[in-house]
Amino acid sequence: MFRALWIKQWVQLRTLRWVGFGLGILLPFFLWAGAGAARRGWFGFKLAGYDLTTLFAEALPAFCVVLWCLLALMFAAQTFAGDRADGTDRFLLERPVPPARTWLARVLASLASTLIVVLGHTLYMLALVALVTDGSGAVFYKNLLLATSAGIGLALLGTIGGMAAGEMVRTPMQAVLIGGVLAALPIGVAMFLTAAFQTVSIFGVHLGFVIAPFLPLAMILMSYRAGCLGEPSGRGRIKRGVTILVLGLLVTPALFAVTTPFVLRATVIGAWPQSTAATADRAVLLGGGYRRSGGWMIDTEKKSKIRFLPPPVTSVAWNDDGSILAVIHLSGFLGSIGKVKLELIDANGDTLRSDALQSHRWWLADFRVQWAGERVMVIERYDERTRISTVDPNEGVVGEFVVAHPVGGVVRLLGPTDSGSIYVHSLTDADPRTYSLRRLDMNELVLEEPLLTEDGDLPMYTRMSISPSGRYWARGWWRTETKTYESWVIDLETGMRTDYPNSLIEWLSGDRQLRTEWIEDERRLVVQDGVDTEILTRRFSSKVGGTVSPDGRRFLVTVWSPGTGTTDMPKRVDGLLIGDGSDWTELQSLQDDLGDGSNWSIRWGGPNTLIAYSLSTTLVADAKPGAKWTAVLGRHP
Amino acid sequence: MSATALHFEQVTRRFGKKVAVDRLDLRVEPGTILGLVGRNGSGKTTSLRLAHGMLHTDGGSIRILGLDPQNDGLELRKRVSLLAEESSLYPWMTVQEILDFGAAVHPNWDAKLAADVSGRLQLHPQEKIRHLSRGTRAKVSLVLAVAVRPELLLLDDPTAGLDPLVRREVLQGVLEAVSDEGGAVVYASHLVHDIERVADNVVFLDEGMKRFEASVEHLKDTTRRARAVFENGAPDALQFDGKIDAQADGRVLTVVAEDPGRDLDRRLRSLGASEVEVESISLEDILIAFLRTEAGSEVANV
Repeated sequence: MFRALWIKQWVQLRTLRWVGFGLGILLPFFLWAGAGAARRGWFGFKLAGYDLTTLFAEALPAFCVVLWCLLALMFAAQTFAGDRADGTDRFLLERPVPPARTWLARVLASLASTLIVVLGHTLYMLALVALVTDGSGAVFYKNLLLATSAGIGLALLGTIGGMAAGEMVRTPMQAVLIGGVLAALPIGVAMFLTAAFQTVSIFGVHLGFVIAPFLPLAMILMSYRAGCLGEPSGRGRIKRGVTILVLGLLVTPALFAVTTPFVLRATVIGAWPQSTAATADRAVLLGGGYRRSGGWMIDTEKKSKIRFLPPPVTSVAWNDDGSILAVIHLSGFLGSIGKVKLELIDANGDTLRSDALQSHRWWLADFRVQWAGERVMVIERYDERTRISTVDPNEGVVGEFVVAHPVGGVVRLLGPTDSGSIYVHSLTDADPRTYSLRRLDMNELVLEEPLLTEDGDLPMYTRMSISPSGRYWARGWWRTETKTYESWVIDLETGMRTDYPNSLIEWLSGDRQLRTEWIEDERRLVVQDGVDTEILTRRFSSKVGGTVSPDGRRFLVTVWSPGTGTTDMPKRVDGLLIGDGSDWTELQSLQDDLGDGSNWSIRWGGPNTLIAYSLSTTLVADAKPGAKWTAVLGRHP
Repeated sequence: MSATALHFEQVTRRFGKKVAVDRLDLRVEPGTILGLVGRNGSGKTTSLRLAHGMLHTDGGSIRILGLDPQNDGLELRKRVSLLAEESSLYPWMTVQEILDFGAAVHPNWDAKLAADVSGRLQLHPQEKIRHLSRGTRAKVSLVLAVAVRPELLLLDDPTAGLDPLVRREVLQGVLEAVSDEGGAVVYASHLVHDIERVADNVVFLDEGMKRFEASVEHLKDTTRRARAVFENGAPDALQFDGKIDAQADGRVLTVVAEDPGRDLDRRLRSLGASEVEVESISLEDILIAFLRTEAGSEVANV
């Protein structure tokens, strides 16, 4: 029975199929004629020129994709509404034929017709491309096959739209028009969700594109329910179909709303510490993605999550004692992009205050936040200006000033130092251009006279730091020729500069310098009192890196196995050392259950805590020998 | 075959606000032919489509060959055929193709019977349906309907608009095919002559309601028409048992009445008629008399 039903539907579509083939065959000639007419200015604009390769290998597939979608719509509309329009639908309804079999035969016949036309057109286009490119257009073949794949996807949508509409209306033409709207609906919904809720992506795919396919499924169900259930003569058909469509339209956003919180959280399973409190067990983990990441506020002592920070989080900063977290974010309703806000959150995750920030550039707004003693500094960079605002946790914005600089100029805020001073390093508008380092008067909110000026031609993107007391200023940049950092330290009291070739410098408490040096094949870690006495030197035969703890009292040393330190990500961590700056502790391997250390990065999660993170997991452990790693995000491997 | 072929009990069906069938009771026994008579829009087609499960009821219950059309639609359509006035044949098929297709979609298809009936009706297998006359299309539909050996055949005015010869052929085909098998037929038509020829019982439908039901033979045997002459003019109101309709025209009164005792002549003379002429009448005339009475009573009720 099914074979007879299928053949009947297939034969009924033969005229439309031939028309479809014909249109595809004529399409290149229409394009050719259209391009020729456009070059003569007959369309109200003048095409500068064209060539057959562009026309047939690039433009034609795009036009064919549209044609296939339309043909699929027509095949389905004719198959599902044609008999009703002719009054011949009663033939099958009056016989012992299960409606589901008729429905399935119609689905398969319209799909098969679409596929055969797509296949025919694709072969025809391949021949055309071979003709115009003399068989050398491999890239065009690839494009053509990609277009065919996309075309099949869209044609499938067209079929679904046509079959849903075809079961609801009386004539194929109505079904084509309504089916077109239905076919566009999932794409429209996906585009809307993508545009309105920009941050809800997982593995690079927006949730809208995952949820929207439920609509075509709803349309298939709609077609089935309308055509196969209830009274054969059709009473209630439209009601049944529309009910499913409406349910689909309601369920889709509901599903989106329900799954969004999970998706937002799922994107930060392999997050890394972005800010840690200097003297408390609090950290913020942020996931990847430029300004799209969400994050978690965590308690590193209890190794537990406190509060989720929905994306996009632009900048975070803990105050020293970990009592207040300052967050700048643009998160709106359900992962949408809202206004730029500064939110102050206490250690328990409760919001203390939330203030909208005036932004000069919405969405592309470039905001950073950091603490200066009891106040929050909000730094916004836009065009040729950097605006720095100070926010009192109780009173809100208490003042602001603007630093002018050339376009692209970077303004850095360094500090605060132990005494609470903030230094501003920026490229000035002066001629010749210079960099200047100035102290910020926190009471008056004005920049003091420059402590030093530098040649404006120095590299813009460098690593720089101020020592805890504010006496020393270190600057280092990557030298491509030697593939090492080049650093110097300037004593701001005396103005004396000390150069440290092949070195990178960080600061420990008490103005002790932690320097990593490259000397031929040897790596050295040096702890030095300011720029004077070397307190400690350790030598390594392989790549090594040091990271200072948030309180500046200890540093973490990562040692790569020999021969593997060619990339930033250690392929194997041999051992981790914790030094307190005055002397080494014993060599302590903290990798324990991290396997061979592959794909793990380790950073400080607080003064007494380490955080290890990979793509899918974030672990926390006490920074002491024998500590065990505990998963706070993702699963322990 | 022992179950009642068709049983409607207080069946109601609406289309929007319009009541197409109103609390209808029908009963058809196997081996009998029921004629459904009524004007256009009286509910004949709706009743047949309800019986075939194409429409669902809004009230009451239907059993067809012991089956519920609403829930046992597929099984029912294996055993019941519907032959409608309007063709639902695919115009692009040939006669042979549509017979083959009909065979493929019906498990009870009898190819030999189909060939016999096709031959008798002189159908040409290679002709396209779209090129056939209305009468020939009706014949093709008839083959499709009877070749599955239905236990109940529902005829929805299949001969309407056909010339008398074709009508006769089609009706003959139906009767031969079904009566041989002992099947039942419900024949809905407004062509009362056809009903009179083939039906055992007749039901008159009007505005979805059953106005009356009777055996055709009994109705024709017991209903007669008399022309009575009253010397002093025909009385305006004449009441006697069994009167269906009476029309006065001067001195002549034309009466249609039930006359099971064949004493209409005597009864009219006893009421003062000087001359009485009694004759048998056709089913159509009987129905017209009933209709006139219905209309009169409705006016009277107003």
